[in-house]
Amino acid sequence: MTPAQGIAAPLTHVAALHLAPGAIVLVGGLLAVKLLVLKSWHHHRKGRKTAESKQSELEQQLKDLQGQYDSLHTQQQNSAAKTQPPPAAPSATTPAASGKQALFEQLIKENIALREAL
Amino acid sequence: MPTLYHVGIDLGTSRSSITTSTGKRVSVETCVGYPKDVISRKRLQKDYLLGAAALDNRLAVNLIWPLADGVIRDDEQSLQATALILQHLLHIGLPEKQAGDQVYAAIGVPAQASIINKKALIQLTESFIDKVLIVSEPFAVAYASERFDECLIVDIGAGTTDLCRIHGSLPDPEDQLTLTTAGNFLDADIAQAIHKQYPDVQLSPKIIRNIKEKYGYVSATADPVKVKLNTLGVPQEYDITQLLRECCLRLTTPISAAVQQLVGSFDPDFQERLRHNILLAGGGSRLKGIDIAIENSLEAYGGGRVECVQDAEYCGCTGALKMCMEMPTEYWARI
Repeated sequence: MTPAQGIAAPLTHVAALHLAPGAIVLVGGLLAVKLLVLKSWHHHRKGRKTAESKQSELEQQLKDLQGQYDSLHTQQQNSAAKTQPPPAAPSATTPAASGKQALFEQLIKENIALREAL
Repeated sequence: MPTLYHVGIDLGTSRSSITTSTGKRVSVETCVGYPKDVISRKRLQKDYLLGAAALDNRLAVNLIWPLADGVIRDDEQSLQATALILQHLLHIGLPEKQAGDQVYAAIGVPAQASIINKKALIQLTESFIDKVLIVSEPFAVAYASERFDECLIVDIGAGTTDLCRIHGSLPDPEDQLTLTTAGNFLDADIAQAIHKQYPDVQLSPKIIRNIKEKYGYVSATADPVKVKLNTLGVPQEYDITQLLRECCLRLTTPISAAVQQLVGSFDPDFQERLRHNILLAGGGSRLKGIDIAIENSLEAYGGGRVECVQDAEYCGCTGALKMCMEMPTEYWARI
């Protein structure tokens, strides 16, 4: 044993005695923080993966629906083209549009007829 | 730049009203007074007097009421008088109008006015109104209150009572009824009944109208109606409570029957809705208890709900103005 060792030994011992619990706590704390960060990162990755997969799933569903709609729309158009009667002459009693627009249309027609009768 | 004004006009047998897009509304008596002779012409300093001025000087003028039963009488003097009244209405309704400004008007006429009468109105206004739209008066009332679905309008005017079923479109001829049992009929009836009971009483159209407007009622109970009338110049108080009710009932009974007729002949699926959506308009709607009387007359039909418009005098011309202002320009261009 060197003199220095002889002198330092009690100091080291004392330091080890006093500092060891602090170091243990510190290292433990750091480990806990690291674990938490890792866990959170893992969750984030997992969530992202779920969201991504969900989004792609929904996109696929939307594409399917769009396809169905297009097909039905085409079918409807074909069927309407087959069943539509030939265009009729405009009638004085048939409202041209809905609501007030139709009322105005009728009212104007009546007033025009009145002027023509002059 | 010329300004475009819109106006709604209710050309009535007794009073005519105008509402304008500038927010003004005026009502005048539908009468013109022409000086009786040279002396009255010299005193009045005018070729004619209009509305209240003519009535105030009625002893010095020949008074012309150009409308009868809601339509213009078929003679030259009445046509001329109607034109004067319409011009007067525009003048007082649009005092700010300059030469070159344009006026688009919707004029309400009785539900069953003839084509000849409507044509006459268009021709009359050609020289001072730029565009004229002729509308059914009860339809204008419906338009004012935005009642387009299964509604029955009863417009009790002076010359006519117009009834009109509204069901989401312009009314067809079978949806409309015009009765001559109206305000003037009631005036004549009240005068006759008073004279029958009190032969020496002195009456004038103005006195009768005041009695009707102030006391007219059809409800089962009412306060005693005692009026001061002259007998050979001496004022005396007369009790006319029962007499007045009987006269008013003679007005409302045919109206109730007409309501029943229009309800009964309507599509059965919509009759209930129609019965519960009856709107009374015009001066006659101010008779006390008339709404209840019509409701009672519908008991056998399953009951009904009758309302009176808030603004009996201007309701028709307000609806006509609203129609006028809401109608797109391209429609106006077609007439």
